[in-house]
Amino acid sequence: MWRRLATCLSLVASSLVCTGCWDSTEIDRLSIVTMTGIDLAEDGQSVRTSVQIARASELGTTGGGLPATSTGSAKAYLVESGEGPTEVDAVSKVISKLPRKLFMGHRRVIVIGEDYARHGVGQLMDEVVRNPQSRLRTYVVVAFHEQATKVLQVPSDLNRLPSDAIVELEQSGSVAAVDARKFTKQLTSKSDPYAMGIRIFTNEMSEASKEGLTLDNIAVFQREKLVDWLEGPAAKGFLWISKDLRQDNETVILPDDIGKVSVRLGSVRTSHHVTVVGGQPELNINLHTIFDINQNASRLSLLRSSEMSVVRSALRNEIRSQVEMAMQQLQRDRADPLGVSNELFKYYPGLWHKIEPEWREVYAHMPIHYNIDVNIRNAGLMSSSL
Amino acid sequence: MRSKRVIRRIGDWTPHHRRMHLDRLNEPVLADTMAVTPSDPPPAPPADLLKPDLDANIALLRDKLQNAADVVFRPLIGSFGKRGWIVYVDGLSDMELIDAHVLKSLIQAEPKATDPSRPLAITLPEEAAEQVTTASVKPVRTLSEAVEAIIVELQVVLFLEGTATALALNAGGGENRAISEPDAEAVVRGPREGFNESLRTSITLLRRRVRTPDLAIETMQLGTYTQTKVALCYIRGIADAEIVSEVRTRLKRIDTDSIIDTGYIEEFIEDNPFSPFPQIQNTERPDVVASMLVEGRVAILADGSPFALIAPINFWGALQAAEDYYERFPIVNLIRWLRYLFMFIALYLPSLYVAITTFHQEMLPTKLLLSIAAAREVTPLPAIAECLLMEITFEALREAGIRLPKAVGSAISIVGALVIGQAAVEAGIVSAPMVIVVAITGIASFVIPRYSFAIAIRILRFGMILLGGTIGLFGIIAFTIVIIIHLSSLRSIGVPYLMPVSPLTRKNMRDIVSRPPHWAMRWRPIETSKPNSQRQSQAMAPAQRMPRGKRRI
Repeated sequence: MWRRLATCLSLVASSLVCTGCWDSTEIDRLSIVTMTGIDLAEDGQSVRTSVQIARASELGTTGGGLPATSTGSAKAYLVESGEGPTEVDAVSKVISKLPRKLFMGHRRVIVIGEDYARHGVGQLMDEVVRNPQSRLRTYVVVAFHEQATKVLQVPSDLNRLPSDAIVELEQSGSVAAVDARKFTKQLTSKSDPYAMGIRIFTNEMSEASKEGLTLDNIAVFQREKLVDWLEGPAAKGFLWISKDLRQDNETVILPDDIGKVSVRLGSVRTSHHVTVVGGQPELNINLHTIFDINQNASRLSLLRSSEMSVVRSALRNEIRSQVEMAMQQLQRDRADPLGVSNELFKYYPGLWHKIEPEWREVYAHMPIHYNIDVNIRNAGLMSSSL
Repeated sequence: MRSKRVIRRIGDWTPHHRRMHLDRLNEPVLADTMAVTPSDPPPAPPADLLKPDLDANIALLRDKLQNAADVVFRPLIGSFGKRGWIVYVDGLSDMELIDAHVLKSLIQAEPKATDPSRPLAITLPEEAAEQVTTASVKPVRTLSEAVEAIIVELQVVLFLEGTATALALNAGGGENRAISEPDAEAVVRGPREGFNESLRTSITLLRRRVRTPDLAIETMQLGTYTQTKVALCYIRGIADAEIVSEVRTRLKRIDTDSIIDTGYIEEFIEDNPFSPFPQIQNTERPDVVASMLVEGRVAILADGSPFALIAPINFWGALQAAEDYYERFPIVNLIRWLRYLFMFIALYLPSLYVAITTFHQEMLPTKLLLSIAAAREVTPLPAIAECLLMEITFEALREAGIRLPKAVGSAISIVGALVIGQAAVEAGIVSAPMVIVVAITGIASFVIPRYSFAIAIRILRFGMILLGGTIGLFGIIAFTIVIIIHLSSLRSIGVPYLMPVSPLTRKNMRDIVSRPPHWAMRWRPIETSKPNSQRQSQAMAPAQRMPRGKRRI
């Protein structure tokens, strides 16, 4: 009894002394990576990885209860980059430049440079999925006409870490939130992945930094390669049908100079399914939306259903044109981020195996039927505009 | 050690050794210490017998008690014309009682008009016994009995000329602490009486709450030098006879020189002396003891200690306070869950903090990680050292606070709050999140109502911190499994400690996961009240007693 107890105690005690034996890492020996960027190096072959690391000493309160620096003025992060023949190699080059251990467990955003994306992201996603430290909930964005390294350096005026700002943008509900899990899932399925584009814009009003980041445009991939961008109304049209949109404001200009009406998205329900007509697949897109009136800048009295229907049809036409634009562009690009091929494979496997070799051509010429339903729920307390 | 491995079923809890039989229970027991007890004198060695010669007896007694300066010898001449002596211990008998009921009645009593055909008293001691007006009178025939009556029983012994029988008169009294509210178990709503150091008073408090002839109080004397009077209390007809006899056996087995407090008894009779978890509950509250008795448990009171022991108990009772049953049940449910939560916090929070911040940083939300990282940026010690430093300091502060006089106690709390809380953080020795963790843990350990159980949690917490800091969450889980295995094997007077959760008895689970209203608590805990487990009729349910509403059977 006593001997066993003594053995146990001495084992525990010795484990305290042999600190090298444990796998422990104190938090202050980590460099916490918040965002990584990946680019093609100048030579066009090797890879440049940039990491954005949170500087813990600039964040939060350190000593006597006062923040070390006020928000935003001093950079709370640093960007370091390294080049190598593979993604892993490039990261190890970064590690060699840092005194602390690189900790990827809190990487929240992966920025893919446009050049690299056009070259193919398969290698990168392979590394992301294999790395035990990396989270599959990391958001994937593609730098719009830009190098990822540049994006990593842009500060955010409101957040101390730009990665926070990007995550908040992703979660706002008005963009397509694509994380590594969703991206790889699409990459490994029959369809094609897509991701939000991240764009640097110049902000003349800001005192601190003249640049800011925003998510618009949607990067369209064909398998692992970026082929095109959906921009403006086409991007919006894609969001309508990709089930990503949760929050939106829309303004319709009514015909015949009646004026403008702004609406707020209440709820959206969208589905698409494939039917086979004469041995050829056809796509049906259903979209049911419910809006509330936000602002009535028109001559209409919205309590009357006849006048409300003017708004509804205008809104329906607008949404329809956006969706059509998106689908036309996607058909031109022969890219299928919507997952039509998946559905075909699931419900018509025989047909799928027959048309698989020339699927992209079939897709490009596939007839699409739109069924768009717009409802306006609340007209508000006032009938007409003030 | 081997016996632990024997798997027993629910109906078979009594430990295998020295099992006492049921018929032992049917033996006559002392109903109360106040009552006259008919007792056959044990056959004494002839040399020890008292002699009819009063002076010889007194001389012998004086010789025996020559070292006890506080024994008073007082001569008297009774109204019936005989000389006598009363002997008692100074200060431990009620002087007024001796004056009024012994001395006065012996010396000044009028001869009573008795029916000559039926003489009440035949012998001299009986005559004297009739004169004395104390409640309890016991004949004493040997010298050692007389000494025991004087020194141990604290009785007044009356020696009379011409008879070999002395009388032990109960004139107990002397100074006692007043009945006051127990500090460690305060309630907002509920009785405020607490036991005190006098066994008599404590039993009175108990008897006042349980007025049934079935309340059995068995007394015995433990400790060769202290001869402490110990009372074993239970309710016959509810308490499981096997449990009662097991407790009695264990008590009788105690052979030591002194029992100063019931804490001594607890260590002598508990099932697993090496467990950090207390297997016997102690309480100062008579209402708690009363409610435990009607659940079929057994209480042990001892002279000189205001703490009663209660057994068998289970793990879950540690998270139930007396007040839980005095306050309305909805709020108690909320508080009971709060206690469960805080028990986990008290046990796990520091170790989880250390383990997660040194091994599993990915488990924290990013913003939390960054603020912890910011706070840890300046601190020199590794997290586990920081944690141990703070926890040990906190324990020391707590210990200092208990021992110090009240006037200095506040100084300690100021110094503690300033040194630990603020200065250590400002100086960059300790990180602020660690202070928060230690503070929350400290509060959490005070939420546990049973103090001795909270100590067990405090001990285990340090093991958790060491394991969490060396092998991370794996260590915490491993230690948790060890604790659960230990708890599952633990028994309180042979009753499984995790009962009713393991072995699962559904009938009694409701009082564990919630506090059901009194009308719904139909059953007593099955593990302690096997012979008689129904507490009340089902007609107490609202559907049965409300004037309107659906009657359901």
